[in-house]
Amino acid sequence: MPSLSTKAIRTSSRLVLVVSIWVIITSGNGYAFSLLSWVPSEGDFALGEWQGGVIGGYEWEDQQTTTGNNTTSVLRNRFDEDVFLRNNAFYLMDPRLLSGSAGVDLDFYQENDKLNGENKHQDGTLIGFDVNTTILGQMPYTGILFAHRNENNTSTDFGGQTYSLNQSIGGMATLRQDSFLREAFPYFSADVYARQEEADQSTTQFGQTFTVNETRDVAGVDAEKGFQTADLDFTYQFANDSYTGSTPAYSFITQWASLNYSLDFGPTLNRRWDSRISYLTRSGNGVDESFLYADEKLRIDHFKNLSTSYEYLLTDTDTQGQQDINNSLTFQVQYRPFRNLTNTLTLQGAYDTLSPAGHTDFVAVEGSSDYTHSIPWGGNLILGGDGRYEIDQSHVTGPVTALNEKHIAPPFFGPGIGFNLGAPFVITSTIVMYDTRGGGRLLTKLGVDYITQAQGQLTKIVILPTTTLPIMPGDPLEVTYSYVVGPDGTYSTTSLSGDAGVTFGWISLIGAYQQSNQSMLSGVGAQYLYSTRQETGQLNLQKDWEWVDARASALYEIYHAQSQSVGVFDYTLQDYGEYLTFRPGWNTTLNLDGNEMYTDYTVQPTRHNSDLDFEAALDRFLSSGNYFTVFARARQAAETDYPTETDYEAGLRGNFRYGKIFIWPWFSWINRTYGPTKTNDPHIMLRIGREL
Amino acid sequence: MLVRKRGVLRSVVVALCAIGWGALVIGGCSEESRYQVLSFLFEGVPKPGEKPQWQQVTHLARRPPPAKATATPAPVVIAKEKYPFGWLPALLKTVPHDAAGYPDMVAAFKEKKIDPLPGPEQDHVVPKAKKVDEEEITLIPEGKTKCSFSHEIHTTLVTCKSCHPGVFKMKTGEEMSMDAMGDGKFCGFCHGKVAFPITGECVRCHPAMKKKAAKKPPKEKLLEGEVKLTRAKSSDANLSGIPPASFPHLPHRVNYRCYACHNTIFPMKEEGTKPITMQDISAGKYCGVCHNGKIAFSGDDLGSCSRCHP
Repeated sequence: MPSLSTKAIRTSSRLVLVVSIWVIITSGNGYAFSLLSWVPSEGDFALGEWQGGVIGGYEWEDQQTTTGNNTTSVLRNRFDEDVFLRNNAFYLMDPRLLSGSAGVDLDFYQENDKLNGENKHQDGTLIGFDVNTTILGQMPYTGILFAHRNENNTSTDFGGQTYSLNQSIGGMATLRQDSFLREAFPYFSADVYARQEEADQSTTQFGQTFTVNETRDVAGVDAEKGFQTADLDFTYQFANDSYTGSTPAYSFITQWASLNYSLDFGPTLNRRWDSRISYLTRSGNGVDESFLYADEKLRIDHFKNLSTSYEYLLTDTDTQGQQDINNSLTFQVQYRPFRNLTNTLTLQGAYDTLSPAGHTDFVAVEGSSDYTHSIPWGGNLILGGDGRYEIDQSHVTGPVTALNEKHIAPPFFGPGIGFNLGAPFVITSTIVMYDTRGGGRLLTKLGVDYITQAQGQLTKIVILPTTTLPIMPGDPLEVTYSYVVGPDGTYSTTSLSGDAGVTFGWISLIGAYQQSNQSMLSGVGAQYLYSTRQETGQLNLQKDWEWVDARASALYEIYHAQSQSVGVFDYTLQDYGEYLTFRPGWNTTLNLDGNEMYTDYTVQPTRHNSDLDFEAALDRFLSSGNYFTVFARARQAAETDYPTETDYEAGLRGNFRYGKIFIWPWFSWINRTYGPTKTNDPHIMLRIGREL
Repeated sequence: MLVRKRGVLRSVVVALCAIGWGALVIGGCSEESRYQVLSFLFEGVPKPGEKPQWQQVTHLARRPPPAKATATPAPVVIAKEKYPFGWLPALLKTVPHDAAGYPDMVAAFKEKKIDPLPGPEQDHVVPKAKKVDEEEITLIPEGKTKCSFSHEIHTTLVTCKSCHPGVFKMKTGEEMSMDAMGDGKFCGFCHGKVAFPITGECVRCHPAMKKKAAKKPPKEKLLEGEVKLTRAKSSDANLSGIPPASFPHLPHRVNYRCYACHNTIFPMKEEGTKPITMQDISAGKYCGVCHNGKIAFSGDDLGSCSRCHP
């Protein structure tokens, strides 16, 4: 993508900024001046409604982190001046021919930081723009052209900075059902698109800089054809991705195509065939994988209370020389002899070839029933049961690798808070985890950024609150690891589950039981079989009054897992939730929210985990969209043998508007304690702007 | 563990035995007793003497059959040359404008720059308003600048029932204010929506007020003009993904007098008008009075969907 030099862009943008402010100041009565009163003359090109503004912002933060005698401090003072101007609904000759909107945003910032007593100054100009045009917008064949650019520089914890630049340019042509093809090719619509995207991100923290520059060229087509009793969809997309930066440069080309067909047929259209086929291939520097997915499903509604379905599913995953071909067949009968009783019988079989490790297969039969019945006082009785018997054959040698398994970082980092990896019996020394935020691929470190915890046959990843890499809550993560696939031989799995409960309008009580047992029938490797049992009781309360909504829930769970290789794993879980909304009037709402979770791991060495979370928020809505919110939150995560994480947070945010003047105040205070490490962080932001 | 596993299996066996014995006992009962027991436990149990019904499933087709292509395309009667592409901006350039920049359609009408028709067809019968004596009505509010307007021009364009007594009661003493008009009452029922706004050039209603001196030729200003029809939340059309209809009011107003549509075809109510369906339009009602492929493009023409449902 051709680009101007940074110096030229900054020089010209500062010039525009100065000229803009000069124009605003010298436009007579500053308060009465309005862009809306200026409308250009009618001509071949007509501008639409103007929108613009000048915003001044100030940010102050004093973050201090103390560990023993060591103190890290960050004092930040940041000013920024922002000018934005846009025109909505301009058109060329006639709005039906070409219409669009365009805007430009210039943000000039100055920041003075004091990091542990050392002064640091930086300033710069952030430039953003967007242009969106629609050609023949009211016609059944429409074109869209767009160009966007967004530049950002944000300050993160511990004096860090993240600079990001996102820009894209592209277009799309759309053909709707009412186009000129409507008679020869009815019910046909299609989109053809192409765009180029660039995402650059640079994060500096603790003297280290991580840079990820991604460019992406995308082109594709989506087409849909409707028939009287059928639908046909086709999608094809081509993408060329390229990454450079701190990690070794790599690039790859991805092609993805899918074809879906759905047909109703039969004498009363009571039969439905769904066919879904998709193929993805990705190849390039360091990446070589393909994925084939084919799903054929037939469902026959013999009668209103009797239906059968037949499904064949094929998945073929070929990643870095490891291939997994899975074929499965499923037959299901659903019979509803009475309106409140549903019975389902399922027969299933699958054959899975893992190259070069071996193959596995299974056959299974499963039956389930669901029953409901009304009971006095407007209540409902719910009963359900499910039983499954499965015989597995496994002939796999050596561990199998799970590549780039996707997970999301939890919203709060603390002891015991994390996510389980998908496969059992993971070889923990093989775990490699990347943070892929913004398309990057930053390597994380065991013991520094995260730890692993055995959960019976499963493995849990817990991200440490003191992770030095900027793993942020909610970040996308990719984990590659090896796991032992199981025994070499034949074994059975028997699963039973049942649930019973009563529900009324304001209260429900539900109990559930679930167990699964594996037994070796022939072969070796019984140490990798496991059995689980789970008993759950849950009570829910709910009541709405005119001014108050209240909800509460309590859950008690007993979990037991056992295998020869990792022994017994037991825990009991108590989870309580409370929620109250109070509306006293005057456009005011008070929300109180609490959640307490206690987990006791009852097998030696025993440990205890607790996660407490309380939040209160007061919303006051004033006239014309003005509002403010005051909030406070306390959260504590604790676990035996690990430091306790305690967070207190309070703040205020608002949105006030007086004529063309708008004010956005924002204040927060965070006090965080993680073992011996304490962080105190008051933070104020104030933005005042004026619309033009 | 083993003990617990046996306990669960025993419970399952006991439950299955209980169900089996229960089935046998119920099977041995009389038909009436069996019905009473089963209907206590289950819903939809057939009454004694009734056979269980196996109801067939019938699904509807996903779409109507596509319209068959006609061998010879129907001739398009729309006088395209009458409304060529961009005719409205070109017309608006020729009409007078007030000092606030809004097109002065009354002056344009008097100067015969526009000639709105009384109805969509030559033989269209429309109720003509009675001409009253007063050509100019002057309102004298207490302590305020007096206001006057041409009653004649209003009666030329709209019927009496359009304004009286719904908008203006035909008696003195009504308390009118600019604030109330701003809320869409009185003159604000039309002015600001489909006629020049009350916040525009004051002298158009208050002759005693000083006329704004335009230093430069006034810039073109258009009224919002776009009429967006609301759709009931319960309407099945919400499931179709087709957006509610909207249309530009100004070109209709330039071509036709108000009473060509109001109140004969469309009652002048903000809410509560009868639902307008495509079936009605195809049957020649509402928009279909003109949009029938003869006077203006037809709603049945698939190529025109996005013109009203953008």
